[in-house]
Amino acid sequence: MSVLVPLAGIGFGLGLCLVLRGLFAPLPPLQATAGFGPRVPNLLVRPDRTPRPLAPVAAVGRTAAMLGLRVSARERHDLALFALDEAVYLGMRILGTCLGAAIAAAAAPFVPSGASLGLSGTLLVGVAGTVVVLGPAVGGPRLLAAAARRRRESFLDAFDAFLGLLGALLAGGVSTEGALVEASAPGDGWAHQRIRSALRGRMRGFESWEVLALLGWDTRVRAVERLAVRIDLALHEGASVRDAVVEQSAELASVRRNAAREAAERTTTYMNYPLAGMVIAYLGFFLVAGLDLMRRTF
Amino acid sequence: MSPGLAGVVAGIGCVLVAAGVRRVAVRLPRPPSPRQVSRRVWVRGGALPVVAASAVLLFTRSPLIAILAAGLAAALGAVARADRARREWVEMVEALAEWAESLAALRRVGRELGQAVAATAKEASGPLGRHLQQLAAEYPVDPVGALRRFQVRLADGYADRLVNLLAAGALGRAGRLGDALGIQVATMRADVEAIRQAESNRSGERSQGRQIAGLAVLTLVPLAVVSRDFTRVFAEGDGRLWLGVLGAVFIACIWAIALMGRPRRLRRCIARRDGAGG
Repeated sequence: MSVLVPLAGIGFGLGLCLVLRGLFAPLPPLQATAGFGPRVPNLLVRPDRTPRPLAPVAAVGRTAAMLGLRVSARERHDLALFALDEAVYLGMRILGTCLGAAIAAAAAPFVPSGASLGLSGTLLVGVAGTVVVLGPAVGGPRLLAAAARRRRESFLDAFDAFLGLLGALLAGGVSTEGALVEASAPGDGWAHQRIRSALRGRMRGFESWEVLALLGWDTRVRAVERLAVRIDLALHEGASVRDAVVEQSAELASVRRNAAREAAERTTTYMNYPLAGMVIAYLGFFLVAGLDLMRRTF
Repeated sequence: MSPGLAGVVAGIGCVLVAAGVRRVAVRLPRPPSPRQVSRRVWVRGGALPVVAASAVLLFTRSPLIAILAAGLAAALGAVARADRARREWVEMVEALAEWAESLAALRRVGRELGQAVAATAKEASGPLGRHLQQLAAEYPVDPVGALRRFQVRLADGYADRLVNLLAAGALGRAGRLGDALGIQVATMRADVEAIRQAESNRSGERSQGRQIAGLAVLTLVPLAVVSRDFTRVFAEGDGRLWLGVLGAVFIACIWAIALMGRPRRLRRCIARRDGAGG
């Protein structure tokens, strides 16, 4: 009987989960509704999508996905930037939560009762356990968003170099397709590799700049999408592609510089914190020595 | 499960999660700049803390104060090195911009790239002088190889961009090279201007940091020497702990200022196959 109760609970939970999943079916991917059709998912080649050591983690994530756990659209774009499988990400969050729960359970007997603080030991364990368990679940997306922001900045730096060379190659009479491939060649950073992979992995019926637009959409790097739109417009309207690239390059340089300026201003503001720390430590020295002197004198 | 084992498990878990997030797309290492691998820098960076610690240990016989003195010397050294690195980097970017401007001007009047490189190398001085003379000597034999080696020696994001353009020009693939170089020069000059503006804005914070550090050394050292009674608390159990904590906070704050003062260099995009070693 004691075994049947948890089994019945698990069965009920799974059944409820499947019913809810059926009621709120996930929306089709945006690419499929944007007129690109079913060929699109194969279009973007993502190297190292699931590294071999993370395969068990991905299996956990896939199981969670089957049970209806999903990542948000924003997280999906951030994961695309890392070429990281959604299943791996889900698996890491679930395993992190399980690990946190295991640690909280293992550490519970060693937590002091807290009676000296007027708190019950159970409350302390409960709060600590909640923080540890919810940490990966709540903190994971935040960590991912911060890492993705840094990675987009890195991508823009590489894309800036790509645009500079692209403009020169176009001015030298190289075709738009050839110039795109050639401009992505000199770099070996991950951003150049992603551009090269996208250009290599394109399928018949799509132009190179359309593939770049998809890469920009997938990773949510707007500058890449805008370049593709500008090239497309220039080709259709008979304008100079090189001028479009140069305009895009100037715009990107300006955006990058403004971002760097804002970051520098933030850093200048943050410099006040260590200054305050230095003053506090300096005064603390006199405080400790002075209090001791007073205690000894009086 | 003991707390120690729980800590080990937690640590391994954190490392796995961090590795999972960060290590997916492997980032190739960048080639070190000559300055980064210079043994002299290590000797200079390590000698001062060792000397400071030895002198303080000899005088006070207190290992804790010796460690704090070493930490303080290392932190002040880090601040000085960060200042010097920033100054040298800005000078190099300005020199690169000037060189690229000269190249662009020569290209616009119809000079070949090799002639332009040779002409600008003759006049070169400052941080780029030696590298440009080497480039001019190697260029006639193997233009693209010489440019890539020049790129490796400079180890800078702006140099990468310029060399990419020049290599395309040397191979006859790039057109209107003067205009393309002019755009790069404008970008470099605007970036340097932004860096100078940021430095000017934070000069007040730097000056305050130097004043506080100077004030602390100038007041605390004589006080410790003259009034042993006042500082006697720091020779005992709890007082020693307080001294360690306050000293560590002070040193950590100086380190933080040094870290914040480092310039944000343009990221590189050098090719490994060109002998960069990355």
